Amino acid sequence: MSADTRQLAPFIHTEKNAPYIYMTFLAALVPCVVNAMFYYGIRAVVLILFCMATFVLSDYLCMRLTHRRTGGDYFDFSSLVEGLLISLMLPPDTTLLTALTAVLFASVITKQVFGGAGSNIINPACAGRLFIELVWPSGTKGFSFGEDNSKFSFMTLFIQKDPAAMPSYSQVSLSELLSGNYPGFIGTACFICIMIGALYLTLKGSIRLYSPISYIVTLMVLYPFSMLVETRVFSYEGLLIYLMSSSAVFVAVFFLGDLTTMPSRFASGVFAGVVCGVLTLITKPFLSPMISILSPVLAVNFLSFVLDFFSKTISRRQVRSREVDLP
Amino acid sequence: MMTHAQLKQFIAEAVFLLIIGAAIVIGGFFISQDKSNKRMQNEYHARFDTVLDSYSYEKVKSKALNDFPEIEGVYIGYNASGAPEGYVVDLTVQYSDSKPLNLLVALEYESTRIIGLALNPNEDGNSYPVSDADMELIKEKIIGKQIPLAFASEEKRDDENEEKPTIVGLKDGVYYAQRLFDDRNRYIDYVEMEVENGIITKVKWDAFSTDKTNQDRSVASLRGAYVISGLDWATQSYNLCHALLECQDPDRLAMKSDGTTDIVNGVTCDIRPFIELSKECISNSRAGYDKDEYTRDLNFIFLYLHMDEAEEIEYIRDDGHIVFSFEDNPEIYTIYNDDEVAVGYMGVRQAAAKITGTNVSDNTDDYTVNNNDSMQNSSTVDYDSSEDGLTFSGNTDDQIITDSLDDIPMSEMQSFVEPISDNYDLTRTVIKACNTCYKFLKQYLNWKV
Repeated sequence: MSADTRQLAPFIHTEKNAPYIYMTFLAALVPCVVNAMFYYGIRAVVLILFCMATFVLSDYLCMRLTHRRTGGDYFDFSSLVEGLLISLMLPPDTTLLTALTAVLFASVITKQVFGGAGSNIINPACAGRLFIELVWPSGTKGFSFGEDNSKFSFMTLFIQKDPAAMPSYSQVSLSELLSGNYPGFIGTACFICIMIGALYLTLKGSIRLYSPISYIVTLMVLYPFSMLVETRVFSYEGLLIYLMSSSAVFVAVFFLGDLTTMPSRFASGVFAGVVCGVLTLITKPFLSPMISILSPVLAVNFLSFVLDFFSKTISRRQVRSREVDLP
Repeated sequence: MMTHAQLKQFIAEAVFLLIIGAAIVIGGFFISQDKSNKRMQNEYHARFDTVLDSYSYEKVKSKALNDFPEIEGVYIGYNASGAPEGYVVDLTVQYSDSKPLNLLVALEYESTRIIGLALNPNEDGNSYPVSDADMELIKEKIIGKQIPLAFASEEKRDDENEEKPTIVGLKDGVYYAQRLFDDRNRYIDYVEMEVENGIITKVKWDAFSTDKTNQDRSVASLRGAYVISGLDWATQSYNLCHALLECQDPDRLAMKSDGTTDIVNGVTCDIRPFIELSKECISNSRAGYDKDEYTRDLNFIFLYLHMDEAEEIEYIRDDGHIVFSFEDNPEIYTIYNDDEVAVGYMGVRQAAAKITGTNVSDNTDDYTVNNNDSMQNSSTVDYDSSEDGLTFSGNTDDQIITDSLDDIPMSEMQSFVEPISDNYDLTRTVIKACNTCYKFLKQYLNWKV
């Protein structure tokens, strides 16, 4: 008898079930949540809880309205994860109204309209965060830190402060970048916390590493070309600062490693990561950092189905995808 | 489906990650904090060295900042030994055509003299519509001066040489008028006016209380016992009296039908008592009816009504003021029309004449104003106001009577500067910025002026 050649159905991306994956994501994000709470106090706690609660509520209401399953033995942890991801990518002085806008767009437009958990084409958290960056740019520019920052202040949750430019990171030291002790988004600043989450997800098999690794490698290799366009100097100077402070690593781990919205095969995953990295560097000199990081992710989300389709050829040549095919 | 065992395992793993995360974040914070502080100080040095070159800076956290939205931050500069050297105030003020001007003003810590002034670079990289030469000129004029600042303009000096508008027929002396009834706070308003060479040279508006345990209104307002919206009542009274000295005519204060005025800076209270009593003083002055006669007649009215109780009621204060409300006898001072409807109040002179049956000529109530513009204004004490909020001339350009600048009474001004040639607006903007710094520090340091 030949070896077992059974494969999962094409709409199933992995043998792991959804609650398992999303719970591992929640656990992996715990260090980032600790970082947010430590540096931004009450504001961060309220923002995180608010985003998670409103995402769950919005998903639940949408499912009730469309008469889809809302109870039984399945709890949709994806709502919690996506709400948490959105909140961690917000600046500390974001108002609840801005956060709610991001959550509603992510939940209703990018998730429920496409059929709910597991059926969405693009990453809802990524789309929601990008949405407010585009339509409400002044609402995502509150980076109080240091002496301006108070762990017990919560007025910025209700009253929007005057927008401030994104802080310059050129003077930030390596120890600050590693520990997250610098102004940035509430949960994406600490490089070590993100890497702990990445390690945990990898050990649990909840992310595919093709795209994140190829994305980071692409950024590192092509970074000087972006600098050439931006400053007329071909240089690697500032690469580490860019990678650590721009949320690129956070996006790589938690968005590009996603099993639902990213290509499932090795070749297509690597290709998607490279494309995402190239697009990020092309747009970097011209767009705000958050837009240049997130919009390529959505672009490859849209492409992932097509990329997987073309990579079938590889599968036909008996080169199995490690994640998709059953042993 | 998840099993209980899986769930327990997840919780255990999440707790483990929480501990690891907390250890890394807290440990990382202590390791990197020194560098973070140095980075922040470097940023402050880059911003503030041009105005105050201190060893270190510390941002001021104060609720007083909430009242000054134009101030973006206040910092204290310290020397190497940790002693405070000065303040740096980062603020944005409106320049010409509503363009914002972001300024850094450095003030000496002890004396609040201005020791530095600079334009703060725009965040968006746009340049300000102010030339370096103009900034240098204004620095020369401003630096070294103590706040608050006001103009010592040449126009002002010219004004001093001009004759002020005067009311025709004023006789020299001290004149006085008080209300014959108290208000709902049991205060009786009075105005005392001094006329020299036909010009009003001194005006005082205050009120005493019929409740002997209360202080006069100005004292009560300064001690917080009498609170009104806006500036304290004593300051408003002061501003209004000086405005009358400037314009010499109560009608030029443009009282509106609700008893307020828009043209005297810092005055938001009801000025109706002041206007009516000032007009009565002017009328008395024209009639040569001075304070002594007024007090004598008022005493006469009291004795006429309350002869039997005069010894029991201590109605004369030590300073000579008759503190009594005649509200129980309105027929004494009320003017009625033919239908027996009250249309106004008469002064003590008229009330006393009414009791004695003597005739008082009313021609002293009509007066003309000589304002050197060949424009004769006529005014009467008939309680008919001019057009709401406007003076008789109707010329709105001349209606701003300034005895304060940026809501700071002129009496508080410490320094006076000349505007730089061809750029009055910039001088005014910088003065406004400096005065904003003064108002903040006054509130922040709880200065008593």
